[in-house]
Amino acid sequence: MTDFFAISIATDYMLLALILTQIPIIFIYATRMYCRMYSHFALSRNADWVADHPEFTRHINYEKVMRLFAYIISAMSFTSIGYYILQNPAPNNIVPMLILPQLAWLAGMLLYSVALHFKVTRAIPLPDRRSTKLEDQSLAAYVPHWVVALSYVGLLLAVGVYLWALASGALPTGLATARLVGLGGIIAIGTGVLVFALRRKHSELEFMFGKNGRKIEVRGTVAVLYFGVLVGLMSILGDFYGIGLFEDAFFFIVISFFVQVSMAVMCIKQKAKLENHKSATR
Amino acid sequence: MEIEINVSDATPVYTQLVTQIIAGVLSGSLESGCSLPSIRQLADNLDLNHNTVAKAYKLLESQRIIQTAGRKGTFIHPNALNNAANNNLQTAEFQLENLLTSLRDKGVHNRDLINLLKDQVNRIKG
Repeated sequence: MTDFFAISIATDYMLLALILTQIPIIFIYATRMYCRMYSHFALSRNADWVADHPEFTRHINYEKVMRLFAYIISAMSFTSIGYYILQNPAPNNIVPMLILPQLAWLAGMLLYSVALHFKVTRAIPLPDRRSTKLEDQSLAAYVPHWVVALSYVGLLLAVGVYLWALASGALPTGLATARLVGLGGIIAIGTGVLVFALRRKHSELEFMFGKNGRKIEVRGTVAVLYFGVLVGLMSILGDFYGIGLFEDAFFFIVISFFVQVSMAVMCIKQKAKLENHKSATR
Repeated sequence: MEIEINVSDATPVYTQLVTQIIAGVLSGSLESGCSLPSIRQLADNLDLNHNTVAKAYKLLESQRIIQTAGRKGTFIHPNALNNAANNNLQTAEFQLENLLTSLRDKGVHNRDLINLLKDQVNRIKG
């Protein structure tokens, strides 16, 4: 009992640390860098036209709104930590404190990029001269189909096990439903990110790391799908056989840590690239 | 390989695509078996209508420069280099035949035509 308590407290500290570190890394620094990069992508549609129209600055307004939104999320996240610490005993809602601001930020970035696409990118006329690399961007060009298919088989098997548990009553309905929602979320988000990585014209990682950027992005997403399979397997072992190797928060801790470190590295790289590009076009 | 099109050019865009892909094959930038982007992807990247790219791919396929393998994608034909060279030779033969016929119709003698042709070939060589 004492050991479980110690693990739980350590997990809470890790979650609290991640909630704190995601404020400067994601909500402040990454927002700034991503907005700059997306504006750069939008304006690169026709750089000559943009240079001839210095009055075309509407992208700055969208950037300001997004940054303001990110500051609001930061303030709310910070307030939630204070509220959590002041409460005694502390309520068990620390995972939502980590996840909800991330989801809000993602939704904000999604809305920002949609607004940027329709109100900025599409407002810039297409140039007569257009160029692109004649490279295959299909899934098979980055990772064999069977590797991706295998991850989906694993995830669907886990979903199948919980569906059976739900139907047969082998697990409490609440627990089985929560697991199904979690696995469904991994499948939906992983598929969405994979399709997004393959289909979009500009890839952030391609901008940062050159030719191999999109490959890193696609393979990283497939790795997340396999991580989902691992989590599914851990959950099955814990729920059906009582082998609790990791807590539920393990998934969120690992993913958040990975996201924060990769975002910090990417933003540093982005900054250098954007500055190089700026000095080259000056 | 980088591909560049100019929509304000008098040459149709699909012809520009075909010409550049053939040039890529002849220069060795596009080797046989090399995979090409899908029609949708190339059209999106160049902000073109999908039908324009589809027309170019269809033409390249009829000239046996590329081949489509269903869901696996589009690839450079195994004999693309030879086929491109043969196609160029056929086009040259056809164009030369038309030119010579039209010049003969205008009264230019065969001997003069041969001399002119030799001079032109020597000029290109020189």
